[in-house]
Amino acid sequence: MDLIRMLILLVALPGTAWAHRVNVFAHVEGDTLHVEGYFQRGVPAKQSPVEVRNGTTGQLYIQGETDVEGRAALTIPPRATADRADLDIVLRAGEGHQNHWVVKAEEYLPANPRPTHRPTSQATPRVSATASPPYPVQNCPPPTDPTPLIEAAVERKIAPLRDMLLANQEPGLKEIIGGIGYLVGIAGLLAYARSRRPASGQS
Amino acid sequence: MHISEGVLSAPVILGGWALAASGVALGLRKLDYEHIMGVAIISAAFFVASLIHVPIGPASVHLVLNGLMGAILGPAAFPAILVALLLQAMLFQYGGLAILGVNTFNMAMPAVLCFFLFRPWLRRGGAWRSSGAFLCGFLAVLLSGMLTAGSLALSGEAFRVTAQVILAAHLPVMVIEGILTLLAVGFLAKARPEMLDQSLGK
Repeated sequence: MDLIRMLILLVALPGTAWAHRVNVFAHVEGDTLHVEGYFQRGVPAKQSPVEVRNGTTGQLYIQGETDVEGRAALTIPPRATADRADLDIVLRAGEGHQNHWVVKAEEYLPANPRPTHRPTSQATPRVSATASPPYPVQNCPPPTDPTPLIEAAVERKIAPLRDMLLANQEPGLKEIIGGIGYLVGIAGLLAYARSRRPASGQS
Repeated sequence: MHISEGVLSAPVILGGWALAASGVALGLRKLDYEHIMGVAIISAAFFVASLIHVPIGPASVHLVLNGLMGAILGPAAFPAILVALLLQAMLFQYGGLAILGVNTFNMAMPAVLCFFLFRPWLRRGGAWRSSGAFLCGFLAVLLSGMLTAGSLALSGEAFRVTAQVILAAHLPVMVIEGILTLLAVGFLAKARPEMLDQSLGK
């Protein structure tokens, strides 16, 4: 019954899902978690469920779904912030494709009060800076915390780098040649192991 | 059809390993000295085949070649596929190490099954061999898709939806693989009959 139904269904349905693996990537901007899922060659993982879990306990925080571009924006739940947990982001792209990405707690928790200035820079007297600094350090208003601004700027700057890294994840010549080399090597070992037996067994 | 790590439940993974291990043991027992290098060459073809993308309409598919392996290697397809999948998992991050048993079984079982089903045809030569080889290529991909959907169903995914998507995506591949297997087996039988499984030789 089911088999016959399956064979009928076989002819139906134009499918596009064909891939080796799905990749997932996430980064934090403010209190928003941006998740991106895509297959090889940048094909987006559309309408795929995304789960955000506690990285240690596995407890589910929030769920979402990617849009047609394979992106999802989720608000980091207060529970996660309270737990100070690493976030394990799981993307299920169907047909057995799944991948995950870990966002460390430090990446999204509000910055702790910590010594941001190195002691040497504090100790350096202003007068000794005879060479003009490349950027106007003294213009920074001291009371405001520059961390969010810096984070945003860094985020913008590294975005293309990240895209480049992601684009380079497909197997290259090195892996292919390496794999074939392994196969030849394994065959050689096997042949060697087998060749000894009859040679020593028979006289 | 590589199932990713973390998708399947532990019993399915263990079952996959048990089945794959028995298949590999059988394959190695049947593998004789003269065929080792041939098996490695076909294994290399399988290893690389998944990187060859064939554009079909808006989508692009890639070759599987498990039917070809079955038709040429017989039971030796099991160890050949295990090693190729292991290398794909390590070098390409396709699939995964824990899941390797399931993926090996899903790919190799249909290949070996088709070999035994169509061995009389393959042995007979001529049009019989051609049709047998085509069916090996075609059905092995189909059965692999079913096994993949089945493994996912055992871990809770809806069988029918998954099977539909997988099979629909693979339909063109089945035809291509059938033709490729037909050509490859025909060529080998004429040019290098010693590369075929010994039970196919005369």
